[in-house]
Amino acid sequence: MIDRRSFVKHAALTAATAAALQRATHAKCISLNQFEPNTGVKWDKAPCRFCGTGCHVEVGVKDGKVVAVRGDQKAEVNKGLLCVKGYHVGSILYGEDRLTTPLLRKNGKLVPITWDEAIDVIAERVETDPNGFAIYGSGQWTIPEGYVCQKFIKAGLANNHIDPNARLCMASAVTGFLGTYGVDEPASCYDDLDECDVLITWGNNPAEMHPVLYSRVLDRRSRGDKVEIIDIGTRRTRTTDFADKYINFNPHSDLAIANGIAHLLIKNGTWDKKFVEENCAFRADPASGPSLFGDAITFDEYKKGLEPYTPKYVEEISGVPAEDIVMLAERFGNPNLKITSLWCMGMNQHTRGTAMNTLLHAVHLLSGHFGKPGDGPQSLTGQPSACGTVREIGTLAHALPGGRIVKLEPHRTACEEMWNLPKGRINAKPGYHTVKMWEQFCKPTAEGGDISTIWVQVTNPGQSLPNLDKLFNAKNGQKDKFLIVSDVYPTVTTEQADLVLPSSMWVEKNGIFGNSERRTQQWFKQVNPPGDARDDVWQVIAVAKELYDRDFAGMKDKDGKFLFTVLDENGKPFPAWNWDKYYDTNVDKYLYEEYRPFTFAKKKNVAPYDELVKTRGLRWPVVQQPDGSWRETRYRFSGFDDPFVEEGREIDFYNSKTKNHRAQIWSRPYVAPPEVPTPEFPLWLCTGRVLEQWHTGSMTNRVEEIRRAMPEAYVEINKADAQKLGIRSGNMVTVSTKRGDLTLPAWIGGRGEPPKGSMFIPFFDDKRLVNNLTLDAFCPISKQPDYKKCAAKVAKA
Amino acid sequence: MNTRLVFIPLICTALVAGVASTSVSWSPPTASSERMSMERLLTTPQEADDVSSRRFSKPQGTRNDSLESRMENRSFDGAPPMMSHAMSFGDNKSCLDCHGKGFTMGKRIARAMPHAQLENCTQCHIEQESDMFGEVTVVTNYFDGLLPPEGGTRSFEGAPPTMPHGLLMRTNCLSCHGSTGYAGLQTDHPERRNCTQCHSMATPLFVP
Ligand code: SF4
Repeated sequence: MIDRRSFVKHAALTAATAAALQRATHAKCISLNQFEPNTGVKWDKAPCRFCGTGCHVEVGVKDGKVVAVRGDQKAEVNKGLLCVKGYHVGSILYGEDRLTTPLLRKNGKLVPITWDEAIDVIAERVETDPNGFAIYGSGQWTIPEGYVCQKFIKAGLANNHIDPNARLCMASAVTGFLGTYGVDEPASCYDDLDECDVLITWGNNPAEMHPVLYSRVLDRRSRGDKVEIIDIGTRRTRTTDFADKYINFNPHSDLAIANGIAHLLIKNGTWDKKFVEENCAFRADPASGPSLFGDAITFDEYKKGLEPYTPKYVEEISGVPAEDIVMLAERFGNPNLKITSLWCMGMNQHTRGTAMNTLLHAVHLLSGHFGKPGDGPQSLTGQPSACGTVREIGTLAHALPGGRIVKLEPHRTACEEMWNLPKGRINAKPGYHTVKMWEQFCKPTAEGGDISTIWVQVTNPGQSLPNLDKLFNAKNGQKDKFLIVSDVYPTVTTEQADLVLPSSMWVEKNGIFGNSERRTQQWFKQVNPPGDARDDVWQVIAVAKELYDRDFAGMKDKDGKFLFTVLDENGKPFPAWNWDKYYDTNVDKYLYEEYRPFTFAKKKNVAPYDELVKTRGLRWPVVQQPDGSWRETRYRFSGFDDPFVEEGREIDFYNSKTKNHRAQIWSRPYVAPPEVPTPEFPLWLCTGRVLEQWHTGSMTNRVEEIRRAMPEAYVEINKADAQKLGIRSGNMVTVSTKRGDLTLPAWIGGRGEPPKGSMFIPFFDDKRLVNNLTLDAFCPISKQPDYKKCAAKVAKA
Repeated sequence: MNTRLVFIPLICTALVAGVASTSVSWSPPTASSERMSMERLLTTPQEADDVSSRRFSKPQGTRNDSLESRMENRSFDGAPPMMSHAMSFGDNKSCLDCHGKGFTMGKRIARAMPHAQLENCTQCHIEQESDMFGEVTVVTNYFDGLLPPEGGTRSFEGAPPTMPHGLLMRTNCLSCHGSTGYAGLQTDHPERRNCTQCHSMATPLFVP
């Protein structure tokens, strides 16, 4: 990079007249204070470590440490803006209690051991019980991290016991996309936010959770654009503050609202007949119960299913005034409006999450609000690489890379060929999904608890799992169960671990994320990890190599070669298990390029690594052009943009489950939630996140500015409920459910405002674990639990 | 007034802008890439200055005092400042009542926000003390944030100094450099509004 300061001086000199030149020379061109402005800072790009928005930051490094961060103006996602987490992402590396050495529990205490010992311990656990060894990972895994774990479990141990925390956050979005389009992930992208006339947030609080995206819309408004924001929710939030219209609904009744809109579209004849006739088919669950792909039904059957959902009936169920249902149907019935829907945890953490996701897609498809800029459904992810890693690599108990599943023989064969495995290596039986995995881990072996070891990476299940006593704490004291945790800070999960591995984080390692709009984003290592912390990718490869050396058959391909053979730039085998040499070649690039061909089958073609290096991420499918350049796709399935759309079609659902270019419009009824308030537990309890703290707070809690702003959990109570119970803001109260209780301060008229009859508690606080209270009931299709509603009571402590 | 002195920096700025866009990694703002064009803000800085100088006691102290106090409520130079007061969480929009155009009362100064109108203020600026939470214990953190640069450089005596920092989406220079700005950082010619006409960016650190 040019030293701009000297350049400015130079330019000044050349431009100056002779006389001025003389003056300049006289003044010796020195700065006023003989001071060199901030030299020695090296800037490089990286995506933000936190949420699924996927903002890009520029990282300033000086003397081997991150010293500053700024929003990357070259990034289309955030155009220079960040949120408070992004601005402070540099600080998360430097909390004083970083884990810096492997720790093994001996006589009840965690004591330092060497990496060699740690690797041996893990290899022994695998050897002793390969079928009971599971990996529990994360939507914060980088793509190469998820990929090596996927290969380790599906190809190496062949027990399929790998599942991520994304199961707790994105699973219903996935099944919603699969059920509707036959393939996962959004068709549209964030550009919608710049184009839409109406923005509807469904149980979603982007002002706090995806602030940069919300500001993209608010910014348009303050520049004079007309955008109507409709917030449909169960709690007033900061998003509501900026909305034109807030629609409050009874928890769980969003199903009825979506059906009510569809009902009116049909009844008023305002549905998009042409779009539906050309591009859609109808679907319902079979009589046997909820199903991912369901059965075909006719339009008449679909219509019949919607008949009960008159505005009046919907009002009865949801508490939403009938005229608001009519208003929503009018918006969707207007073909001249561009409508973008946003949703995240409200719709996903839902015991009918799959149903609700498919119903929202149905409303968009039925009304033809799809496939044009500004017009379509856009699902948001909470984690930075829930899409890129979990969903694209398929680090789920039932999935294989590139949208494949273990149940299907051709999918297994394809993966076996690409991994050069002997035929039949990949197990056809899905492994345990998250809740089941932890249940089987916590259940004593004698009672059939057949998971004996879980290796947790990049996540904090001791805080984020629901119903913690049952799913996490019950492991305590069981001698034959073993918990391995790779992390960067001590957490409630490491507190219970038998082996703790210190990991590198963010720009201490190479990495690749994939954000909510199909954008794959790469960064390079920029500083060293502290102490003996090492990359997660390395940790897995080192264990695999140890197993290979011990002659563990699963770690060999069909020619007897090591499963994780990495080649260097010259094509020579590279000892990626040797930490001292690990960065002599770009292991991330090698693994990513090995993975990339997996994405071609479902036309999810991710960009080559070298193209990612040059950009602030590219949205797949990324296809090479005749001139050799690579072009990203903003609108999937849309003829004007997606290269895979059949010639001449405006819309082409080419991954259609029914193989006829059609997406499925689902008919799914409202069903009551599994737990509702009772006289004993009269209030709804919702849990969630807050702007400053990220998820379980293990990183953000180490940042002083953030901690000062949001130090501890509280319970938001509606004023009327509080008055009745004599509770004032700041009073300590005890919130209880059937599963547990929690004492914390009440906040009335606080940041959010739950309607009468409901409460809200954030889950970031590791001293006040709200997940001791939450329900572990889950969506029958996605297996995602519901953290958003259960029955609770509150009383002064 | 020496016309030469005005003329030369004008050329400098033009040259820097032109060349930088092709030869350095981070291109400078163009009219369209800036979140808010100068035009949109032309009224704001001036108004801010007018409005706030009405009941105004001039900030006291040296340049270094000001830089130090600035660093007290931000993590590094370039980070968004933290709120220096508690806020009522009722309304995210009330910030603009004082910080929209700037406001002073006695010695208290609510500086005008230096960037385009972004409504979701608490997205970046958060409380450090609130009515809700009491004493907060923090974990020691060894993050050592970048310090502000010293002053800009001058091509020659009497030339306008270069801007030692980047714009970082800020467009209202008078927020800090106007009459309600920071002691030691104030301009003596707030009436000239197009600051970047004469003060070009000088450092590779903050090329926006
Ligand atoms: S919006 Fe998300 S990705 Fe962007 S800066 Fe904030 S936390 Fe990071």
